[in-house]
Amino acid sequence: MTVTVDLRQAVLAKNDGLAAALRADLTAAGTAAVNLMSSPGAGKTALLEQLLTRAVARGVPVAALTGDLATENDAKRLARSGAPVRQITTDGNCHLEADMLRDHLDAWLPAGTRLLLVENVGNLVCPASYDLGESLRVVIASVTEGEDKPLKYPTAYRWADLVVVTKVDLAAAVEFDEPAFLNALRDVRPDLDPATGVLRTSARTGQGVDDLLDLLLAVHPTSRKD
Amino acid sequence: MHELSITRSVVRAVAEATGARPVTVVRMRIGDLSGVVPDALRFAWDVAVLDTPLDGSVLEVKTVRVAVACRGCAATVDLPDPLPLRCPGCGSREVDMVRGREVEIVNADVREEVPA
Repeated sequence: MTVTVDLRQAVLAKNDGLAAALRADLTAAGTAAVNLMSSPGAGKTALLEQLLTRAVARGVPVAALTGDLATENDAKRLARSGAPVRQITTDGNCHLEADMLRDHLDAWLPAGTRLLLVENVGNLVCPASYDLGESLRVVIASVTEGEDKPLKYPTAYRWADLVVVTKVDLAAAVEFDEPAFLNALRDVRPDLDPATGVLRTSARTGQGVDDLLDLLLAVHPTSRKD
Repeated sequence: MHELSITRSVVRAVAEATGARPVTVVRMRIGDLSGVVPDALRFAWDVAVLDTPLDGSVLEVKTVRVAVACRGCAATVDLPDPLPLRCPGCGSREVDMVRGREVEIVNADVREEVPA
């Protein structure tokens, strides 16, 4: 005979549970974690180099984790800022998960770290399903990617608390249509106020980087409701 | 994306709940904006269940349409398409998504031994 067993279980519950525990621990430590996501080549690492260098110059206790399938190149680049940086090498996994963060943070994250920047694997598809215990989710979109990215990657953009448009020094050269981008974003994230939820930066010229850093430093490591 | 690893998680979760009993059907709910593709799940299912008590079972997927609670007209409505997120009634963009991101195991049918 057949019996139906009620499960009612969210599949990503395991990662969600680990992420919630991590979020609680980071909050207790006074550390705000920021999850930075984008497609490959949008400029996450270059922007992070700028952010970390400026944070160190301001005397802010900052640290970074950077995820890639292979190589330690990004960690080496980011370490030039003088901030503590650790590489997460995923060996083929295309996104970071909470357990990877836990493994790399335990016994490493310097006490008193105020801001932990987490550079996710360059991928707009998968990271958006995996809570890392962060207090802020940022999607980075470069002007060279086209205006309809929010519509093409709704899961990632729906998750974003903040959208950063990068490489704005190239905007004119590629004829980036910012109103079209903001329209696409509004279709996917109608509740994201473009005045406060969208920033423009250029890692090359430095435009907007201090504003972004100010915003990140204002993030409190409170528990985030999803 | 990740349908194979998600499928493996599902098999593990079901097997934990059902023990060694043979499973014949597993039912899931997948939201249209969850990022998970039901066909890819079904494709991975037959591989993921091999050599487990779920071997030979069928995966039934019910998709869940995106639904929003409109702050404009106070209605909760299923959307005709997952995007744009806009109230189909009054056109307002002041909406909260209430359904559409689910990746849930609902239940599983297990074959019980009938006592002789």
